[in-house]
Amino acid sequence: MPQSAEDEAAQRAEQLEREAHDAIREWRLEDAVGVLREARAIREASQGEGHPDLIWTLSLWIEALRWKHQPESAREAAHLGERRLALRRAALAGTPDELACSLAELMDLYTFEYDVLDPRRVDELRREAATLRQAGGAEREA
Amino acid sequence: MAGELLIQVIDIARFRAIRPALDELEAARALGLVSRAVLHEAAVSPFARSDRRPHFAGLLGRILRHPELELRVFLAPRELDEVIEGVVHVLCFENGAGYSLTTPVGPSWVVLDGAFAAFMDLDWFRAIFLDADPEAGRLAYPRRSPRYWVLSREEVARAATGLRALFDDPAAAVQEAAEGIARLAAVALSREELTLAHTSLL
Repeated sequence: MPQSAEDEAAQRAEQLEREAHDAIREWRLEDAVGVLREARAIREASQGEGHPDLIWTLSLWIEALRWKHQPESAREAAHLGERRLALRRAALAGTPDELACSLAELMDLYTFEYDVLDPRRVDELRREAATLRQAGGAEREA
Repeated sequence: MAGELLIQVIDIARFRAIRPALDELEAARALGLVSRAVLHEAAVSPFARSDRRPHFAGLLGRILRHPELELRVFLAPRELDEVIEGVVHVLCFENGAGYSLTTPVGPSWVVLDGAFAAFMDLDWFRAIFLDADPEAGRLAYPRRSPRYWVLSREEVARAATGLRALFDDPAAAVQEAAEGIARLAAVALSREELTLAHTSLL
């Protein structure tokens, strides 16, 4: 059966993501970001902006930015982290413990060295994570 | 080449057996039953909890707790890499790939540090450990640095023979390292499924 254009686009995006992951592992961070920009554009065009596959594209991008270890790349990573969290809220709606981990991950993204880039936002995330952890604990007890 | 060379014993047959699970982990989608069984085996290993991999056991717990989720949805790439590396270390390497920089020659490892220069002068050593084709013999996983290379049985046997010349070396560190590698080579040659793996610690 011939592949649909959507399948081909998804395969191409996966290939680019694999290349980006290897580039990050080899510290070729600019290469990784360039490739991920293309992967994101492909996924958004073929799967839509709310598709859960975009989470991995963003996760790789965030990782590349974090390894750059610059204040501006930290801010960009936090910005992408907000978008990833929005996607994870849908994908992890039934697993509050994992959503709490995602909130903690975003809190980390708002921290560069010893500076908190947005203390108010981090406080919001911390409160939400605590609520989710309580809910997750109650669920396990039940 | 700078830095230290770490040499350890690996069960390459075990690595080949779990390779499909490693491929599935690398794809970061949902895991099948066989891959989950591999992760469960790693989780109950006494080597799963170690200072060298502080998050490994916790990450395995998260994955095994949510079989319905694709890994890419909730794990970060570095977490996935930590899981893959941990699984290989725990299930395939002797002693869970443990080693020590303060005890360069241990029961299941040798770290060539101060003695490295003396070994680099040896043609057979260079051919086996340093000048080999960078792609040939490279272990497919873990893919993050430091990467591992594995020796063929012929190379292990060649190393075992070549090392004998160093057993009487006047430098104690060289002698001790040579004896340590020879001991590892003997272990590797004692069973078909074993070989030596090495990596550079920069």
